[in-house]
Amino acid sequence: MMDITREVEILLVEDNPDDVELTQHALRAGKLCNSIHVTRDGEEALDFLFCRGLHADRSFDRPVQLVLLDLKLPKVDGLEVLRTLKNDPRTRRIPVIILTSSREEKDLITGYDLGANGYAQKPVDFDEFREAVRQLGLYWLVVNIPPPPLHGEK
Amino acid sequence: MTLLEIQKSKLILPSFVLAVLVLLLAGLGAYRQGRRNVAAEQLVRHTFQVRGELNTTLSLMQDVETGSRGYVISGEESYLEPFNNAVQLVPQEIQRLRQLTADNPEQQRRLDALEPLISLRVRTAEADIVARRTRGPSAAEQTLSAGQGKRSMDAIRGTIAEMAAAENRLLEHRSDELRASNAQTLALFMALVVLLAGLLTAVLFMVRRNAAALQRELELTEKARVYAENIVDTVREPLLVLDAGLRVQSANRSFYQIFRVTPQQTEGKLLYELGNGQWDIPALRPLLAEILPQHTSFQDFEVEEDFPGIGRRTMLLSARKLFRVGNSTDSVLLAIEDITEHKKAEAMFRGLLEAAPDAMVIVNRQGDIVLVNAQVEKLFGYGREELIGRKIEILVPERSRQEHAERRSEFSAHPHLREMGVGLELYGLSRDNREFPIDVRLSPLETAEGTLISGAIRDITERKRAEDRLRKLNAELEERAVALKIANQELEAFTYSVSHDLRAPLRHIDGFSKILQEDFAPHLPAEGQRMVQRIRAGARNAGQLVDDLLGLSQVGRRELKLEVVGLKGVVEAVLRDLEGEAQGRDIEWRVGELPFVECDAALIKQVMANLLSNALKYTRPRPKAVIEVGTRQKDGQAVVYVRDNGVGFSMKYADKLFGVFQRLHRAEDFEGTGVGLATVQRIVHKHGGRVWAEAELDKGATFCFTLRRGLEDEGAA
Repeated sequence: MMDITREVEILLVEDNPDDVELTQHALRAGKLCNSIHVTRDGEEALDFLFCRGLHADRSFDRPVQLVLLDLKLPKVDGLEVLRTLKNDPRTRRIPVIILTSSREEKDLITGYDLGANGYAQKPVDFDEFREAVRQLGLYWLVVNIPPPPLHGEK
Repeated sequence: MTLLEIQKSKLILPSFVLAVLVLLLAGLGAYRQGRRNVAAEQLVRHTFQVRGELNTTLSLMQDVETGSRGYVISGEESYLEPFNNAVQLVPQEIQRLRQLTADNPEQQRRLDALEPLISLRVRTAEADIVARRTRGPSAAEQTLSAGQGKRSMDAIRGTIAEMAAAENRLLEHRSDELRASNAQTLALFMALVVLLAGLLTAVLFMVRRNAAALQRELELTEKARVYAENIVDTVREPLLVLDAGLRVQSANRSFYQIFRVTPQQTEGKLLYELGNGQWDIPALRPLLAEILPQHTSFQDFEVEEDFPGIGRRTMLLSARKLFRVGNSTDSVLLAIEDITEHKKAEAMFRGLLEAAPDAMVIVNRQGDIVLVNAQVEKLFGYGREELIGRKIEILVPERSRQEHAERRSEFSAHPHLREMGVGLELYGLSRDNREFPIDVRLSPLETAEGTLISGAIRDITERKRAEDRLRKLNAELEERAVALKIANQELEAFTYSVSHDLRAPLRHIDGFSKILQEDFAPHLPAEGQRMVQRIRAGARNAGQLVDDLLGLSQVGRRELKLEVVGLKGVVEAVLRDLEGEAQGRDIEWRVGELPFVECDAALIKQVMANLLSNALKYTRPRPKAVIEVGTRQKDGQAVVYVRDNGVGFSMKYADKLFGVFQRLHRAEDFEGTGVGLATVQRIVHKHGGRVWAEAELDKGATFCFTLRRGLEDEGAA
């Protein structure tokens, strides 16, 4: 059976409040949303992930388990966030799933080239969207074994 | 003949003269010796004669003695007969002896002594006879015994013996002389014979050597003659040798070949009567006539005549006096050159030159214009006669003349083909000082007068103008291309933004409607529920439309990734995708043999997906759908078709079928955005193929397409 008692932490990087709400709704429906954090732009997302600024109290020892990343973001866009994340040894093992409206080939290619762990398009049909989010959560939070914490390496 | 041999041959004559002299000498010697011998013989005979006469005289005297003594002793008269006879003959003998020895005073003296002795003896004998006759035998015997007669007889004998001895001595002396003379002569003869033999041998040797040399010389001369004849025969120009009367002495092979005549028709004939008299040319007669008397010659006298058998030809005649060693008669050598082909070639060359589309200028290595064509006159405005002999720089603008002359010298030193429009910007200068851009193609022209340079000049004013126009157009085109690129980028940005921004609100509408439906269902009346349902359907529709449009625009922007694709596999994959849609329906799929084609796999899959899902959609009203996929040949091209037994459509709307948003059915009956077939068409066109549909209302439809590459060549797999 699924281990849903395990502590999970999802970072949702999404500027559109509607999308935030629908995504949260979907995650809730999948009973996977124990701990979800939302950042509304790229800069804030980076602050959160790199434990700085408003999130200076966070520690790299407790990384998020999954980042759901929209591409079109204010200030720093999603691909830039991805690049920064994957270029830093402290953050590059964090699974990042691109969750976006776009199915542009160039976004797909750039995303994977930068080290995205997955790419999902938000379907227009909410039923489909919900199902997609549920499966994503199930896989990445339950089936997938996350990388060990950084301090364990040293 | 070598120098030595010549010198030897010069010795022949003196040797021969010497031999003749020796022979004459020998003859003279022989003659003299002969004469001497005859004289000697006469002397011998003379001696013998004298001795004979002496003997006769002695014998007569003995007759006198014995006759007289016989008579004295016997008294017989018969003894007196020889006595008388002898007495009578003795004086004659004496006389004869005197004559014979007249040249010898010694013998004459002895004769003088002999004569009285004889007379004494005769008188003694006569006295004895008289004594016998008159006094008898005793008296006579007394007389005899007195011995008078004996003493005179001994004296006579002695004298005669003396004379004979003298003659003998003389004879001996002369014989010795003769012998010596003979021996001398013999020795001389021997010497002369040896000399003569030597000389004659030498002469013979030299003559033989000379004869051999002469033979060799003759052979050489013969060889030289044959050689010369061969050369004459090999000469390609016809040659005639004429005698002083201008009759043909001989002609070479070439003459017979070129004029197609035989030696019988030629040799011995008067030049002017050859053929049909074509050589009888008034201007030629005086030229030929004065060659021999005036020692003149002429060269390249041009003649154009009709020649029997070979037609009209142009000939160049050259003639000169021919000197022949060993032949005192004068001859004229007439050389004939057939320049008809040359003339034709020249005419052709001039024709070509005039017909050339370019202005053609031919210059020599010094840059003097040799030849121009009409195009040059037209282009530069000069008459031909104004240009021939002038420097080519007359056609070059003043400012470039110096440079042009230098370049020309360089080119003359190493002539090569120079193509048009290589590197330089050249300008021509016309007679009225107008400059115009030209293109020049240079090529060396090998001629008998040396290397000439031919230049083809083309006025490129128009081309320059066209080039300028083209450049301008290109610039404009480039500008437009940039603008187009910008527009495309904008379009891309637009579609990107559409995909993001338009889909998002639709998604939200559907999402919140769904939440409303689910979470607030108890508070919504049935009509409200239905409205929410409609909102969701509209949102999904719009979302589908956006997705389809994006797909269509992506096809347009996408670069084809060509690979060889088996269509059968593609169709099978599409059918798997359609399984959900097909669920619960009675469908017969007839998938025939399909080819391998070179195409973009993803796009061709989209084509098949669109066509097959259309077929599935429009057969929905049928209790049993029959959908067929296959290949057939049309106009030598493989055509892939998808046939269904669905509702079909009227062919009068066929032209609208592939337009964007064009729909032939109502949305209530068959859902759709009107983008699918437009996408199919765009993909097929992008592959260079063609797509069309055949249908009849309510009787099904067939969609066909071809792809330019692969379909025609590849057989069904």
